[in-house]
Amino acid sequence: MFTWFHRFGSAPFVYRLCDVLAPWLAAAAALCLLAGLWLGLVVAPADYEQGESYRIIYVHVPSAWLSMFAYVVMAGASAVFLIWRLKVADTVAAAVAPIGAAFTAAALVTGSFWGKPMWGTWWVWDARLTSELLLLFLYFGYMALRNAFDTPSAAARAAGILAVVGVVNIPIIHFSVEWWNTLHQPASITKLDTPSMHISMLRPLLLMTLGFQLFFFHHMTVRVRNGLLRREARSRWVLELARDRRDGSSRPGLSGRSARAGTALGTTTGTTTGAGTVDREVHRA
Amino acid sequence: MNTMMGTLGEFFAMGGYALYVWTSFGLSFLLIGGVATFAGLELSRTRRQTFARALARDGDKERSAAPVWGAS
Repeated sequence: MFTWFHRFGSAPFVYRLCDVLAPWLAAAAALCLLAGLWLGLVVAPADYEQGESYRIIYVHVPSAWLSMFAYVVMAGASAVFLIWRLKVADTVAAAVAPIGAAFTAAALVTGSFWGKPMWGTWWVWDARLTSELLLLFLYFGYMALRNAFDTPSAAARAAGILAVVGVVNIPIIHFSVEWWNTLHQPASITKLDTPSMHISMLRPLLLMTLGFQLFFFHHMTVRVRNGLLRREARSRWVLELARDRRDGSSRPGLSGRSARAGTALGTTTGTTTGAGTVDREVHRA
Repeated sequence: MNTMMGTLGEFFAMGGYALYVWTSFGLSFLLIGGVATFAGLELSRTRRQTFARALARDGDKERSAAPVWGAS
């Protein structure tokens, strides 16, 4: 029943899935971002209160949204890793940390550049800004903790616990504008049925957010593949991928090993059983 | 031509908020694009090195193991 789920614990399956998805995600992200930029910077009218400065929203809100989304992915993957000892989940968690930090930094910087002309200040210790800054430190802490241990498994566990505990910050960021009514304006995309923005302004915002989201998933496929290759450099499936690449055979699909790798396996069974057992051990976590 | 230059100028002026708008977009692009570019380069390097090492190890193993394998 749960076999489909178990496949996501298999490093070669996840690697191939990433390989297949990456170009489509990249193309879709580029389309959304280009359309969003055009509609947001050129087509959408100026705001009656904030003039042209409001256009910062088209990079600020997607960055801020993804900064939280990436954290939830990181915390969720860490929880899966801690509970089920699934090493692939740890690879995913480690993969999203740097880009999450980049989104957070972008949200803070763009917020600052929006706050200066509109609020008259670069920074204020407002609940939303402070909790977002805390999020940046959580990302930094997570990455620092991963590098602070000599044994990778200890690093993964410690960093995973930090990620899971830090997730309490996410609802605080989200509801901060409702709980503490200070300088930061309330959410822009809340009610899609009766939106607080005109459709000509809302459409590019949704496109940019979707573009950021797709870009994030594409970035995930890049970093996850990198992490899997590093972690399982000595495993059987990496050798098969290397052979496929060397022999220039067509890309293996999701279904598993290519016919070529299969024959190679047959001819060298006696010499490669060692690698095979390593492979299995690694996958079991 | 003049009007086109005018509209372009207007576009880049962003109603007087050029500094804030373009810096926001520019810095975000640098931050996020920088991390993404670094990750892309890292993946291609990891791929090259990991695959080369795996093939080299495999070659060693086949060479050293072949006579034994043939004898048994």
